[in-house]
Amino acid sequence: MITSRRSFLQVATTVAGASTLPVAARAWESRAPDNPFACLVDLTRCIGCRKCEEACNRVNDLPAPAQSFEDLRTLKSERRPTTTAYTVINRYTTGVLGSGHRQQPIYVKVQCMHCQDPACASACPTGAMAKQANGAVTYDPSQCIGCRYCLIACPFQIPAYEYERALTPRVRKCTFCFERLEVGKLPACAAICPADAIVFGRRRQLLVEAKRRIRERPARYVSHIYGEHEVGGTSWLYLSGVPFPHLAFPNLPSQAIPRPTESIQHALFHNLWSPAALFALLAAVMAVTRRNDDERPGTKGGES
Amino acid sequence: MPTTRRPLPRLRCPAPASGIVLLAALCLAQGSGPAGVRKDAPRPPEPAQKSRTNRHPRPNGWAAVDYVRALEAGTEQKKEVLEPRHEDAALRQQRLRRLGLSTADIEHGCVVLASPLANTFEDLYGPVRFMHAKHAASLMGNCALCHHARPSDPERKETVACRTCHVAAADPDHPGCVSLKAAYHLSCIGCHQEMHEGPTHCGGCHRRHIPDHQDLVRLPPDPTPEQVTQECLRCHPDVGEDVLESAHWLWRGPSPYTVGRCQEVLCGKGTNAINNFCLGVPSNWPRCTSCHAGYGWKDATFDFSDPTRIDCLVCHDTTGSYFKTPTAAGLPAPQVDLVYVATHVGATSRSTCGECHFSGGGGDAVKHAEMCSALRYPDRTCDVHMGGYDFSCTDCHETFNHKIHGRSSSVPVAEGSLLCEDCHTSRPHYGDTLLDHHLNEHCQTVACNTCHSPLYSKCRPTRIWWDWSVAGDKQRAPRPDRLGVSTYNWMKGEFRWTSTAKPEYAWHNGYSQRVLAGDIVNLDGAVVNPLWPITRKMRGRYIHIIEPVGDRADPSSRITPFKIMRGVQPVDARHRTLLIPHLFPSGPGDTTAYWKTLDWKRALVDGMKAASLPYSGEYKWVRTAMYWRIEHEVLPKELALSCAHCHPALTGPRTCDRCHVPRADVDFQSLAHQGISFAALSRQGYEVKSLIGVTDYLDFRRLGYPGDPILHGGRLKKLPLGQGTMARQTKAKAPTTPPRADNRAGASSTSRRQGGADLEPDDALR
Amino acid sequence: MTAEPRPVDRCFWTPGVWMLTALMAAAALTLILRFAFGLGMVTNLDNAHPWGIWIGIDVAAGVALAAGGFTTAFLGHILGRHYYEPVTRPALLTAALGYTMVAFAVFVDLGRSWAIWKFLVFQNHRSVLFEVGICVMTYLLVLWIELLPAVAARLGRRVRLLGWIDRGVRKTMGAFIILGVVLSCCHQSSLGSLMVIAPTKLHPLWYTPWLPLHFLLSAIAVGFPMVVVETGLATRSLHLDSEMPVLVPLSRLAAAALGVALVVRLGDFVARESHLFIDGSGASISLLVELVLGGVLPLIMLLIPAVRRSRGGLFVAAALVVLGVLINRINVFVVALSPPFAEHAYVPAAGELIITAGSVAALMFLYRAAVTYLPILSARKLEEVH
Repeated sequence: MITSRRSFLQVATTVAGASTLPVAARAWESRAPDNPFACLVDLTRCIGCRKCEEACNRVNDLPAPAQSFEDLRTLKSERRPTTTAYTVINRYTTGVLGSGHRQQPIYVKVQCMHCQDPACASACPTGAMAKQANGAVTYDPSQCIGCRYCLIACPFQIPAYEYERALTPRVRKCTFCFERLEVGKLPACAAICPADAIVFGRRRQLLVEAKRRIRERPARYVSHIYGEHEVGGTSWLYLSGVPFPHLAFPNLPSQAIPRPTESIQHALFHNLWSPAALFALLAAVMAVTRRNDDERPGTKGGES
Repeated sequence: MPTTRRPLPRLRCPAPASGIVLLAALCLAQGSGPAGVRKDAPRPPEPAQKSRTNRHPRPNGWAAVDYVRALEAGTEQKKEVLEPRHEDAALRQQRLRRLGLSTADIEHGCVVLASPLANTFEDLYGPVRFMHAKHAASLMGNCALCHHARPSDPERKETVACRTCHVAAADPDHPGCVSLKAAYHLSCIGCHQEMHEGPTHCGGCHRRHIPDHQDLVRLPPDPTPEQVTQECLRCHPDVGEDVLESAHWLWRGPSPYTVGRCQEVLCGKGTNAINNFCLGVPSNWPRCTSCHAGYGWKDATFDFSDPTRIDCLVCHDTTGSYFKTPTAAGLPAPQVDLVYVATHVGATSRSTCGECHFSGGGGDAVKHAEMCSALRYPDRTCDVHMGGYDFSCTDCHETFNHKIHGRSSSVPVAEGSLLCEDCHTSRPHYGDTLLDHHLNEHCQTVACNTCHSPLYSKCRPTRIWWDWSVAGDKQRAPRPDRLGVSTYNWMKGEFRWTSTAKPEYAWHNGYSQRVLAGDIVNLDGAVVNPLWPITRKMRGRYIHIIEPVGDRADPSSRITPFKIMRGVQPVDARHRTLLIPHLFPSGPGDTTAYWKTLDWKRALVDGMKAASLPYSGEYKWVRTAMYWRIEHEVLPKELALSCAHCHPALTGPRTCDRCHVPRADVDFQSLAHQGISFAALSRQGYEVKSLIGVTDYLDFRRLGYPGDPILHGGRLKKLPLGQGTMARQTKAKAPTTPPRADNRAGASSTSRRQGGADLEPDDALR
Repeated sequence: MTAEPRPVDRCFWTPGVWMLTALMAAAALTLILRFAFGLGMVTNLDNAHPWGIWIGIDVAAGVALAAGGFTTAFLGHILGRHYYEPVTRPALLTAALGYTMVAFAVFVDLGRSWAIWKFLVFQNHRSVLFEVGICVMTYLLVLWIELLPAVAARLGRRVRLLGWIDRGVRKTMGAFIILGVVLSCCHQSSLGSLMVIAPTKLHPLWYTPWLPLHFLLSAIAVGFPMVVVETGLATRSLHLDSEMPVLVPLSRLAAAALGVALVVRLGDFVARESHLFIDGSGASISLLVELVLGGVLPLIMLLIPAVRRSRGGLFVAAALVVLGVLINRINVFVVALSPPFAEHAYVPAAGELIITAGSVAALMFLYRAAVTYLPILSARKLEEVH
């Protein structure tokens, strides 16, 4: 009885101890590519023409929208990327007055941020979501099982799911024009942008450029490059003239999103040590009780 | 009438040129050569052979010369500037001014910004025509505003083209410099927004390339026109709704520039507009609506809410093979290959707009003096915008949601206004010389076309007289006049034509006085006897169906050129309303159509019934006149009227030196005489001999001046130093100017006081 | 006292069973819609709320409530407390059926159900969901192996193969039992890790990196109460003896486990100052229900010996614990998910409710079928007692 109870407590402490481990463990390492392709979006330059949406629609063979891209009435409502629009432009008025005492609109392009350590790729049980060496976070429908864990994981709420398809629903999101990058072309939105509001380049160089702009025109920009540190860094970087929370950018920690779970998993299941240890422990306990049983047949437990 | 096709040649095209076109069309319809045109061979109902022939091919060697030059200016190779030298904007401006840089230094007044560097994505938009001189003038010659840096190399010019510095289109490894495309957009849009002037939307500067529709359009073989429209609406449902509200579909709409009817929305050709060409639409639908952007408006029951009746192709055809049967209520000709046309749709062009607008009044250039088929591929001396710079109609007539900007002389409907000044600014002479200053001052008093369209119908003869009272004489031969156009048609009556004509001038502030169907007119002195000789018919008072509103004392009125169309047409003798006859036979059972019975009485009864207007049964013939504003056929600037053409005071030895101190570097004499030379034109074969040596071109007395304003003073300002008598006179006359309220019946009497309009049109009539 | 397990000889098609059948039929019809027209047809899921009650109730709560299987197996077989053996087999059955239902719910919820095999081929070892999936799948297999003797006892003679396998497995049954406990510990905790990947989207009332520990402890805590509830329901429904002599000592262990779970949970809760977020919102009410009604209240009840000894009191206390864990899982997976750009809140669609109800009905139906025809229950019939 006493032995048994002790064993139980032993097991409990072992499990609890095992759970304590992840926090202590600092084994986690970022898998971010060194200097991937990236895009710098300068919101002070965006004129809200929606050409990026149109180009995206075109190169991805997406269905024509209900209202044409020329129709800027669409900007009246705040939109999110959908299965048929991988990028959208939203308009915000933050109280900043432009010429003629009119509210100066600020346009925000929304698309996949292509995180350096993407939560979706960490979450995906089959690796259908993957961070490529060139920076793109890609999706392979042939590996997808449709669990939608990537939608849960994404801190920017970007992936969209084809709920209306019966058998082959897909996760849809910005591809960073992966195929175009492979053949040396720019992402469609960056290529078409008439105002260089989207500048394509290497992440490190773009950060230098962003810092240069902030340094040279401090009155024009807030001193924050969104995506430099957010969730461990993203391949899409933003400059803005007003604080980012005013433009519906989520306030995110600088720690990579997958880090806690991956640390826990790594600490607990690295080479399956903890299950193996638990197995051995339980086997030992079982062996002891079996022997006790054999020695004292008719042993009974309970409080009666 | 044995077949519906036979009367076509005479009905539609009195001019031989159009006759040839129609003959060709008929040959195509027959599917064979001229031998196929046999008058009495009954046409079997075999399916017409489909034809993909472009009916208006681009002539070999035709090029828009000014455009080509501007394109070269915009694309020629420039030596790249690797190290720009930046300078504070305010200081740079001062320095450039001290250097004496001005608009005069601008090499190319218009540049086509077509650098391939700016075309970064799939050729979505066409290049921009950038009016460099205009922008420089608008910015008061502040070059530094755009030319914000200079090359470090001191040998190079102070101001260089954008594309010499802004080269790289987003180099991944050097993202520093703004790309050429962004440099354009950021500075253009930024400045336009700041100035609240100039376009900020894509279509404001660019023409959008329409995607290839060959893979998008899905049609069965040999579809009906309605099926084609349905296919268009599959992807463009909103467009259908837009068109259903447009003037091109309804033939009626808001009439904001018609006095007394500014708030109305029902005036228009489809309802109550009347003219002195074919008189009116009601009861003659199948013939008239062959120019309707729809299918099957053959009577008053046409359903204007049915989008499948819209004719998309007539405006959006790019093949040149689409055309409508002239008598089939807007249906396309049977030989048109609809699938071919539908898979090759695109932006409208001069050719598609011209399909209807060039042949108003039943033939080429008949109605609109300055719009004819020659504008499809014109010389730059025919029209500098279309011939020189290859403008499409919609480049000026901006279109939003299928509502097309522009006022019309002939119909009250307007879906937005359009002025030369919209592009060229109110100070359109961009230089900073003495002459530019005076010309810009003129813009307050003289419409642009007055100097820049000094002649109308340069390319085709236009009709200026149409006497319906003598129609019906099948024996009378349709004798061509010296312009080669027919002067008689038994269905329509007698015509007079003119070409390369001097317009008539009147004050105009943009508004018009109109007589619409049902309006009572003043018949005093306007009634004519059909048996009178033509010279007597022309002499006397005219009822003005359209006349411009304007007065010398009104600062918003300007001297404006017009073609005046005169004619004789029926009026209700008792109700004093202009009449609409039933002309076109709707079918074999039609017993009242004039062109079948030659009986005015029955034709007028049925016509007025169709127009839902009372008719007393008695009719008379009256003289009518319509003012048609001259808007197109703009000549290149070097062919505008010279100062001396209008001002007799400048034809003598004294010109500018009347006021200005002579300068060694300016030749006042040549300055006063630079402009169009009628002698040179005459040598080129134009009929302008009578204009050689003409001065007082506008006829100042007719316009209400005591004489040349240089001698007598302008209309609103006193000349300095007490010269001139004009200002005093204006003051004295002002109280006696009659009120213009009685705009219907009293219309002609007021215009008499204006002068000009009621005088004998000898100089226009040849 | 107890006897050997044996089939319960009772009429199967009672009105209650008919009702279960009706629920299952409704769910079957909804299933046809789901597979013919996609998830969008029968669910209210959207991009902001990709997981609904199928994951919250059918999967997460299902796994937690099947914890009775491994806790009793641990107690009965590993610690050798044979006294508790009468409840291990029904608990094992509940677990096996529960996990089958979990697998079924996952199958229905997956957008590409037909591609479910792909996660065995394309393995992403960093993914928590991958680990959960592998564990659940293996554990399901282990459960059915553990249940094999009961099935073989009835059908072993007729189906030769079954008999052979049964004899083969019997020798290594100990290993399977241990494996079952290990796998359970792994995935019960990892189920909590699932939501750790969304730190910014999970409501701070629930988010803690210690979620896996809380999930494991609460699963252990709910194991015995679940046995109490399940036995209570079965004995009442089938008119059997109450088995109170086994359940009462079990409830002491239950109180201990619940106490540990609660203390750890509340300690963490206060330590990370989550209580500052209790503000009267729906979420905080839901949390209070979970903690007080499903945690503190039953703990107090279980600490009172009189309650433990009364059949009704014990049942109510155990049911409250079960309810608490159920609400906890719904809270973590559904209520706590606060997407940054949700257009509207998630409310389960009728189709989702029907399929969830249908799964529970199927579970009960199969349980009843199993105890009717297989030697699962050991309790005597009431008429035998009296």
